[in-house]
Amino acid sequence: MIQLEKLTKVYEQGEIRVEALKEIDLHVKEGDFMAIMGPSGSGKSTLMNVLGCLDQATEGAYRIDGTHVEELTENELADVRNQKIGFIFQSFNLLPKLNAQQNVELPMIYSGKSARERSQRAEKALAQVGLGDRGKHRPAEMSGGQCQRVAIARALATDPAILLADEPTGNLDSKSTEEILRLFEELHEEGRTIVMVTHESDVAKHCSRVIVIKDGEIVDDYRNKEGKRI
Amino acid sequence: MKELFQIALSAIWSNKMRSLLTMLGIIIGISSVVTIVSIGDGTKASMNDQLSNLSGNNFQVYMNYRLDSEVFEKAMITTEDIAALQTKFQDETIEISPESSVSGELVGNLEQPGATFSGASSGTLKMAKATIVEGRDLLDEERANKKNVVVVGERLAKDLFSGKSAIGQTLFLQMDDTSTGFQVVGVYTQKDKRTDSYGGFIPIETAQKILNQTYYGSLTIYPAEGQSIDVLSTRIVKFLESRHDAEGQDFYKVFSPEAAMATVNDILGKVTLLIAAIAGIALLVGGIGVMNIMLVSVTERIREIGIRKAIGAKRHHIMIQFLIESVLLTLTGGIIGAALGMGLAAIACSLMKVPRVVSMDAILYASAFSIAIGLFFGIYPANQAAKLSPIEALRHE
Repeated sequence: MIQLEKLTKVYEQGEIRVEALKEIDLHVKEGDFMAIMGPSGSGKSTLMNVLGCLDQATEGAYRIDGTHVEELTENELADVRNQKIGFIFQSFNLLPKLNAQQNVELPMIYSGKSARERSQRAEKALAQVGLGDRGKHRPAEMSGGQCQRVAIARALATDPAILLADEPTGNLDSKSTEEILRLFEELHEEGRTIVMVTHESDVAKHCSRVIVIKDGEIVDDYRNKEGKRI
Repeated sequence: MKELFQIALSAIWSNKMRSLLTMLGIIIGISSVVTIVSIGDGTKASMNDQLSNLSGNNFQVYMNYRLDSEVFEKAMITTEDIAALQTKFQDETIEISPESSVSGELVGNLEQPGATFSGASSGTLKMAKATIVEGRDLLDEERANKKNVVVVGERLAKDLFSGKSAIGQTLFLQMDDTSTGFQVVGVYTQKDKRTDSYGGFIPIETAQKILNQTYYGSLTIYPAEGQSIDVLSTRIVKFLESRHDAEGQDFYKVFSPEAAMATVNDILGKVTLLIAAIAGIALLVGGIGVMNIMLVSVTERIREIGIRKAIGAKRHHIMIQFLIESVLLTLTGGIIGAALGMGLAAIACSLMKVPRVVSMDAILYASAFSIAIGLFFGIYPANQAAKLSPIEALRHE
């Protein structure tokens, strides 16, 4: 599904050169539910951005679902983001002026889906996250947990190869956190491939595989016994 | 595409006041250009109208009045000259008629008694597109005997004789110290003629007698079909000069309504263009205002752009979204401006008493031009938005 080989990301600002990722090798299999853990500044967000094709690696190979990402043009990267990846952000990143339904339809606008197909898929995705009756609500009219579920619906609507979640529960209270994590578990049981960045071990416990990053290198990689699948 | 339109529309709608103020620049620019061009067109139309009263396809050859008095005598156009011209240019002309007219004030109870009676030879009325509506035309016998008879214009007949039939009545024209009586034999109406002074036709011989003149100051020449006024007038001037032994001495000048019209149109066109160009500066300022607001709009929505890009929007999606927004702003402004401009032009034209020329072109050009402004001034901000990297745009607070 995802294959990283000697992936390196270097930030250069004048004299200062920061290696955020150092020759990362990683293989994410289909159906994995993986947590990326690490302290702040460890490079886990950088890794997430590279995985999500929001940022490009300086060196190394990145393959997703058979596509060599490092060879792609700007527009092709947009297509990968649009069709292969469902990205879920810590701060939801919904458009405040659009209602839930419209937010979920948004990625499909850019892939040129018909209005009919868009609304059908959006309704289905909203139902799947348990918000079938909230389509007309705007983000400001919903709780944080509901907003994050809209964002998950938006990620699911295009039926991507992988879901990437960057601290998806970071802005939520414990009750909403539980709900969101349960939703991820359900998606995992359906066979979705999920990669989630978190710094909370409580959250990581829900995942089947955990990798730990420190100073841009993977320092630990283990199967989680408490995870539903081992 | 439809969705991109909706995005742009909602962006404009959610900032109503700002959008309106931005449009105002375009509205002022477009409306002033449209107003000025419309007034220019109206003035042109009114001038052309007046010039065409000098009647269509003809020209005048007249003596250069600046000649010294001894040469002036030599240059006078005589009856013999006219006869020679008529023979020589028989095929090229329909009519060559000498001009002579008497002007004075009508005796009677009139507000503006000024009147000009033109000397007429046999074909003059027809050439001047004057048709007899009452009574008759001048007779050859009246011409030969230099009778004081007149065919008057409809308006004169109506105003002077207040409703009663003018035929057979005598009117008096006061010239300097003497008053001359004319018997009215006919009333004519003239197509498209609008002048402030009263008009009439008297036998040309009578006019010459009253003026105590034997020569003519000018000739009106009606060219035959297909004759070029330029060529014909040059040949006639040359012919006259050779008869007066004055080759190349600038004895005679040519006036053609057509050429005058062209000159007037040319000058008016240039003046209109100049003023419109100055008004165009307002449009330019408006366009810069649009660019400014679009840049603000982009800055405000960097995060939105980041989200859109993160979920798969391509460069051109963002670009088009912002271009549609700026074009919608300028196009709406342009249409409002064109409507406003036409309204202002209508008011101005009625105040200036010039005909209102409604041109759909103005709306069309205004729309096309405002689209162009929207594109031109929108492209920079739109490109700024489109080239943002998703990760940096998302980090923006």
